Amino acid sequence: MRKSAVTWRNILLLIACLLVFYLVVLTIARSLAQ
Amino acid sequence: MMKKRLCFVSPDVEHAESVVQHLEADGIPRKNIYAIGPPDLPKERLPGPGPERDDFMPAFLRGITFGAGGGLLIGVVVLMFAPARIEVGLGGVLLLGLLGASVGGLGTGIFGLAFPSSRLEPFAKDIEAGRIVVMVDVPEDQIERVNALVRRLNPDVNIEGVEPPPPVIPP
Repeated sequence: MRKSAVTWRNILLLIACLLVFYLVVLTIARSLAQ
Repeated sequence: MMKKRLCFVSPDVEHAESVVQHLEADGIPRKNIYAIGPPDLPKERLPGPGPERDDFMPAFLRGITFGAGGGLLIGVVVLMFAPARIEVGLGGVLLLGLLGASVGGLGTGIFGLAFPSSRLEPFAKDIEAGRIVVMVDVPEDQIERVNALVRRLNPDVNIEGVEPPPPVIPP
């Protein structure tokens, strides 16, 4: 059970990184397009 | 209450098992106890390595720090040398910092998963020799008590003391 808890934490952190990356790229792309 | 991770080096599986049992009897939940040893460690008798299974967390934090630093640096350079048609403000610098942090965290985090925990380096020789590192997360005010408990079980046990970096995000 603990094994999956640690694994899930890692996965969530990676997904959070991906989300931040996506939002930043989106913001930059939008401001460049204007 | 801040928790610290105590490390003990057990000579064999039997000793490690009795330490774990005594810690549990003392009211420390099994999820706060970790054991790392040779690959043939009996999984049903000892708890798993928990967050020390791999190097994700240290690598992840390193990636975020250096990524953010690099991103901010690039942002400042872009700010100074931006072509006239592109307007770069302070927001842009911060965005590049965030971009660097996210890329750094993703990359090094995934790489860290492939490596053994760098925090176990001091114990590499012990693990190689077949000894078992038992780690336990305890509240700061119980450190002395747990140390005494383990010493009572085996006066020769190698108490490695407190590992400085406690988990940033509790598992």
